[in-house]
Amino acid sequence: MRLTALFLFCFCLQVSARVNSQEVSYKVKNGTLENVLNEFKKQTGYLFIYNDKDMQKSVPVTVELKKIRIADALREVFSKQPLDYIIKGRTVVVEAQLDAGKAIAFPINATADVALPVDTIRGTVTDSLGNPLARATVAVAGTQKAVQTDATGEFSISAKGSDVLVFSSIGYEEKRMNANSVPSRVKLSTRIEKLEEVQVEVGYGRVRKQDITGAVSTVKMQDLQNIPVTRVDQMLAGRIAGAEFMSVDGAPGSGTTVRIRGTRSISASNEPLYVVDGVIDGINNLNDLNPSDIAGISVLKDASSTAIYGSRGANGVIIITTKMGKDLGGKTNFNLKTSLGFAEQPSYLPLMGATEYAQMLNDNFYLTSAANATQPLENYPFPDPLSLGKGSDWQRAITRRAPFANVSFTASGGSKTTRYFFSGSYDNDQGVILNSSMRRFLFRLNLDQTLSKYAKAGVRLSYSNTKQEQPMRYLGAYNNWSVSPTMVAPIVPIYNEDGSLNSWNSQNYSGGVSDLPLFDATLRKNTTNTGTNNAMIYLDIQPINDLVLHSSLSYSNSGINQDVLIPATMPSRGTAGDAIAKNVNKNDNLLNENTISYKHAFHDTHHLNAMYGFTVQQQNFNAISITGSGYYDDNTALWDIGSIPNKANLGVSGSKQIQTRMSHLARVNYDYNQKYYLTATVRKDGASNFAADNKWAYFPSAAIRWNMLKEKFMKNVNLDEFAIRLSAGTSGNDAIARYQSLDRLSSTTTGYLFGGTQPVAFYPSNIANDGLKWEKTTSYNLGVDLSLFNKRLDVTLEVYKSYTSDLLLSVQLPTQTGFSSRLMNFGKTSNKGIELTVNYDVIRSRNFSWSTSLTAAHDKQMVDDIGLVGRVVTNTLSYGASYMINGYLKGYPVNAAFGFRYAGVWHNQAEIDQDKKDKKYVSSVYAPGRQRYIDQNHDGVLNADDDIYLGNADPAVYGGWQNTLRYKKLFLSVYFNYSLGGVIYFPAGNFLGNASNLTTGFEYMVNRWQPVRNPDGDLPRPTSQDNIPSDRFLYDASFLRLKAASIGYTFDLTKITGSKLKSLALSLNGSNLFLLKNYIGYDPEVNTSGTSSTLRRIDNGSYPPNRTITFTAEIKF
Amino acid sequence: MKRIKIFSISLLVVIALCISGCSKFLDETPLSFTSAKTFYKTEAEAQSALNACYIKLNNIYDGVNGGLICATEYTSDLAYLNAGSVDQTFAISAGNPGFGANIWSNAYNAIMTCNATIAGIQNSTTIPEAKKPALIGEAATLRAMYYYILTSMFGDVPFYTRDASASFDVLVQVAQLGRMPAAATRDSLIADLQKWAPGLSQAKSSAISNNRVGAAVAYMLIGKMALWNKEWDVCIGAMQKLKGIYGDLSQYPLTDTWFRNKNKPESIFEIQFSGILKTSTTATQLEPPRATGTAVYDGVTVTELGSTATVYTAVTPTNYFMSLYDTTDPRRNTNLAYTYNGTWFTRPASNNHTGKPWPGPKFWCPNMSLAQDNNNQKVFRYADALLMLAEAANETGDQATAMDAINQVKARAKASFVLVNYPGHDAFLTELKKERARELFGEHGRKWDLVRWGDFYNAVSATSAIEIPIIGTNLRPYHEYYPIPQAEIDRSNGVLKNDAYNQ
Repeated sequence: MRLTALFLFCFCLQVSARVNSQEVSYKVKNGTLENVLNEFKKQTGYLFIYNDKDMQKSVPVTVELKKIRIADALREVFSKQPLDYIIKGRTVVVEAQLDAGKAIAFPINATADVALPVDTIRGTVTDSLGNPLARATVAVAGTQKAVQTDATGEFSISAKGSDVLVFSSIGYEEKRMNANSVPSRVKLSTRIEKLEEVQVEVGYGRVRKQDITGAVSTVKMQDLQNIPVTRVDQMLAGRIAGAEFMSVDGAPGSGTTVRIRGTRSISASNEPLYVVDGVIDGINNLNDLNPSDIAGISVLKDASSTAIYGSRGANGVIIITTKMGKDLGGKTNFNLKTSLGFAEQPSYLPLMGATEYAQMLNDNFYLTSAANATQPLENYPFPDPLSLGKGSDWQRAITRRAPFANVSFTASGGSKTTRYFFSGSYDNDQGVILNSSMRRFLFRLNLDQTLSKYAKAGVRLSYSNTKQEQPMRYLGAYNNWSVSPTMVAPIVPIYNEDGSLNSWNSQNYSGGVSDLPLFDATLRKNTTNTGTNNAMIYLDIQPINDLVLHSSLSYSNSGINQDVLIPATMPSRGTAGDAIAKNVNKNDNLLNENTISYKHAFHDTHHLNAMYGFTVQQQNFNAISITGSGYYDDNTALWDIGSIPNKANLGVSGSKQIQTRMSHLARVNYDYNQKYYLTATVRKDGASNFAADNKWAYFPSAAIRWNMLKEKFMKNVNLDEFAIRLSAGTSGNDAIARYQSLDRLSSTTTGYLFGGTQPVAFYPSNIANDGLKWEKTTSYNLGVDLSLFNKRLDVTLEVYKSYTSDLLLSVQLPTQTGFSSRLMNFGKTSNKGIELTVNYDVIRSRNFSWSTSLTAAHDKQMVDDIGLVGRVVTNTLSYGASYMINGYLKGYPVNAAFGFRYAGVWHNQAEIDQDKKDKKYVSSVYAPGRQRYIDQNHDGVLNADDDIYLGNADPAVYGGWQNTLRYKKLFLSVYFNYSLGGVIYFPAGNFLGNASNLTTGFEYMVNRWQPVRNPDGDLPRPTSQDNIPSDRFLYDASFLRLKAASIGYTFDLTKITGSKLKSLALSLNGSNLFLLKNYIGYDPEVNTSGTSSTLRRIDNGSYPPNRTITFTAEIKF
Repeated sequence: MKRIKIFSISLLVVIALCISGCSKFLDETPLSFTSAKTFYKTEAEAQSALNACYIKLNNIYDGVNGGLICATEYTSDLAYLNAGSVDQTFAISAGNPGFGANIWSNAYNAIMTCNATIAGIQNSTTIPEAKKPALIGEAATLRAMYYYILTSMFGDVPFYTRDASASFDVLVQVAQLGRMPAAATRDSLIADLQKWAPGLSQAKSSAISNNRVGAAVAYMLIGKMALWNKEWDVCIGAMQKLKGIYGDLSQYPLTDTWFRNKNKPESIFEIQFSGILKTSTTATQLEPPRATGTAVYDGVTVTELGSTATVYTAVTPTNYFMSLYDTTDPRRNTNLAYTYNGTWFTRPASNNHTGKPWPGPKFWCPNMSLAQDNNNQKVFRYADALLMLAEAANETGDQATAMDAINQVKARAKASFVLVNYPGHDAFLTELKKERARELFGEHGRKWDLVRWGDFYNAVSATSAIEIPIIGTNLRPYHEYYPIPQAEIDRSNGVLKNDAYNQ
């Protein structure tokens, strides 16, 4: 509630920041332009920028305006002026009309063959305010000839009178004019990214933003700069309404799990499709991408946009395009950026110290037998608990403040025919847990070459090499309690007296040694080295104006090598010696896509854009894994695999899988006068991983858009954009493993011992399914695009509903069949939701600007039908009765959480006896101080009937809030993301919250029931671990996070360095700076079940997302 | 325009080629696994499918909470283990089925594998018919073993011998099977075993290479199931076959019964383990507690056990079990440990040497590394067969056979233990039950014997339940069988039930 209130408050603030009127009323006869503009400023709050010289050219104004929109008023006022104006939000820039304006249309008059005398043309290039622009380029179009302006903006270039000169400078609109009509001062106006020009990737093509018929979100790349994380997905959380990004883990280089418009599938993947530069499956994971190489990100959400990806589109599509070079007239822009900083653990679990823990064990002793209660204190396990103090702080012992470093370099540029973008970067990202780290090299070359009037070709080459060090750690993972740094008791010493690491966990039963946390963190090696090559070549042929043939061929291969070493010095390796495991995966992807598109305007009002395409894809997956143990030398064991003393200890396995796909796709875009739009797509997909007769399927969609503002009746409506979109379509999900429809006889060489050896054994592991087919999602989307106040406020609202059927579901079979499950098409789910995106330029003035954007999304996902079984259990505690914690039950949310209702403890035997009659509560152990739960059906038996629905793990609303402020060259960017509602289960509470004597406990357990000290307490007595999931360990998952903040200043170095350097930007950046949560674990925005299709918000020992602070310097030259 | 033509034509050619090759392009040809349709070409392939039929034995005999030994031995009148698991305290329920869930899924997975293997061999056109009976018989014997475990654990269970991996229709039929009366299941299995046993190796199990099962195991299973079904003659028939193979018990030394002594001649069936390739953790609960970093076990240095063993809370014998032994019975100091090399352990020495002994050296694993028990698990051996023969013969009134069989076992322990005169049917049976306890403790069968005799509830109530209050509180007559796990009941849509547990 607190969070909701805060949000509402913030949102109100923004809305109330809207100022003044948009209309003016003014009457004047022969007034000065300056006075008129001043009056407009008063009435509207608009800011007018002009210089006095230009104002002198103005002519007297005579107007009579009555409640006229400012834009129209300006049009009228300036209609007779020799001046131009540009509206940028709430700022109007006035500047002199160019004399050359008319000359631009000239070349028809000039006879190209006539050699005109060469002349030296001199002048000064300035910005729109008349300030000289240094290092602006002046080039003769169509030649290699180009010069740069000096520090005072002056240039001289020799050109023929008939030549066209091109004036350009970064950040300014390019200007072209005839050489013989160049004025002495050439003004370049600031480049304004007009909405009309924003092209959005929609898959196999781009469209202008205002022509989009489907639900497509884009991300403002400038908001993503300077965030100190290494993966682009880590930056995206909350920026796209309806896309939920969640860390798998906070370890360096760890992935993110993404849901676009929620979860649909149960057994097939729910992760979206990534398309990078048009290549499907081109990246092995997002670690392969340098965030600063990215030019744009589009997220396709509704079926009308995703259907073009057919079978791959049901989970949404994230299209990433990398940067291209620009025509800088042969110049190259260089950019060198370096960041240095550190990462730290943002919080620690509130656990008991040694004193509290010893007191708990004393309590346990007291309760163990009636006789103990009267024993003297000396006989207790800990006669003096206070002397123990805090004891071992395992959490802090294995964490550290870890350095973070990044260097990246880009060079981009080009000429009219060749454009290039080159980048390289190096990251060294150390983890907050000892010895965890990621090091990464990335290189990219994007090259585009115009071959002729008809043809253009290009390549995209990239290479990435990532090395991750991930020693084992079990943070709060309940099934490794004896070695988890959040679980090992504080009375267990970290070091022996001689300074060596202690391997004895006194609470872990008796006997053996334990690999206590520091052993795992310091001795164990777990290195994953991934190298990925991507190469894509394309050819565009435009034989006639309206027709483009595009063909691309891409090949990527990645090698993933995992090397695990548990050295012989590890306590658990005792006499067995060291152990190694090596996994070598080599995957590749060959994709050929061919499209032919035709674009034509008929009578200027009918616009048609049609496309047909054909694609073929083949992926190979090769894997080899090797295990061995008992080597003589830990150092060479991983590589000199053959030196194994006993061959029986060497295990090998391997596999090869091939997946092929083939598709035909077609799309027609039509609009009438940019008022009515229609898009229709169809894709026919064939994929190898379905049953022989079900390999092909069709995925159609259609969408309309109505730009209402173009209607006559909307003429007087004071809006900049108002459009309604409606779409419907079907897309599919093929994200299941390969060969699932075939029967399978698997082999193993780690089976039964025959004469001391393990000969190969073959056993049935999958039963054929001739009916295996696509999972289909049909969805409907209604969208509204609204733009107000001169496009300063943009609002997009989407409402959708989708139905998924033929779920690819691992149907749980009665185990008596010998199989526990079988992949089938069974069951139905549905999603509905609403998404809101608001972008608002609160202040746009010359020296100060503030823009803010907010996203909010709600998604409700339900299980409509689950077929044969009634329920599909997806998560239980691995101890005890394994009651359902998460599962699919008809009529309940997809990510429902289940458990028992906690009802405190039995305070005395009388309560237990009374309840035998009342049957209000059930318990796994009926004893004073033990937990009791609500007996839902009053049958007096603790069983699955009392395991009820407790809440939905999905949030009610989630999103983000970005603010960017700029004062002159100082900028501040602050980004929050939030999630409201939803629950998260803390499984380790089974130990930490049940006063287990095996592990430490939460600090709050000092308030446990105790017959003398706290007879009314409602927390269980010591050693009450009952393995029953209950609402006591279910927490509100709401949070508000200051996800990223950045403050920086840009120095203009042009003048100081005589144009040798352009600028230096310094910034201080932080990520995950602040987290407001109700959850007891480290962070509610994690999911240790990784990209599991079914489980969201599972925290079984997640590596906490760290807080990173960096200082960044970026130099441009 | 010429360009367009060339490009279009070539594009069309590419497309046409692709489409014509379509059907093949999208075909799936597995490269890293095979299919039953193409397998079973040779005897070697059949042999490797048979290998898979054994795999789950490891899971069953070393599972969570100590494996089958816990579910059969530490929950009997002879011993208990007070370490908190639901199996040990009789807190099992359908919702919390303890080790039952493990047995259920592993045994049925193995049965499916056995059925598929039998079908695969039967359907093979390239394996010589003469070779088939031995191969099929081996799989059928293992299948009977798994059903024997299931019926002993759960009572009535679904029974099928069809190949559920062959088609979905069969799978669905199997999925809908309910409980079948255990006696009928056993009769069906006995008949099947009687069919295959003659085709299997008639040698002692220890003489069959690579520890594979032979006729001896089949006869043993026939005998066990016949006893459950009180078909005494069937049992006697099978035991006589074993007598023919194994001869006189006196030739086999008693020390061969120790778990560390693997695959000795007396052995009929052992589950193979090794310290590295297949480890069990059974011994961790069958050794005295060890002091940190030393080889001192409950006050006594036991050099053979070494200083690296992991030991958990140990199994405790009941007073009843302790009382069964004559102090001169060599099996007393094999099954129980009061002393080591003449030195008393601290616990048994307490209260004037009346304290509880530890589990004896029969179960210890010398020089165990951590929790990696290197011992085999003993399942069937010849002394067991003789006691079965004695029991069945006593029921049919064949006193001479009964007396000879029981006395072979007694005499091996100590010559003076033999019964001189037949004491009458009931007294003989009582003595036989005690003798089985003395001889076979820890060999995965005590609880099943109690259930078979109808003694389970009374015997445990009078022993463990008195010593351990929680067992006294929890124990119910229906605990003689494990409940079918709730998950299975859910999956079967209610076809499977636990009537006894729902009272």
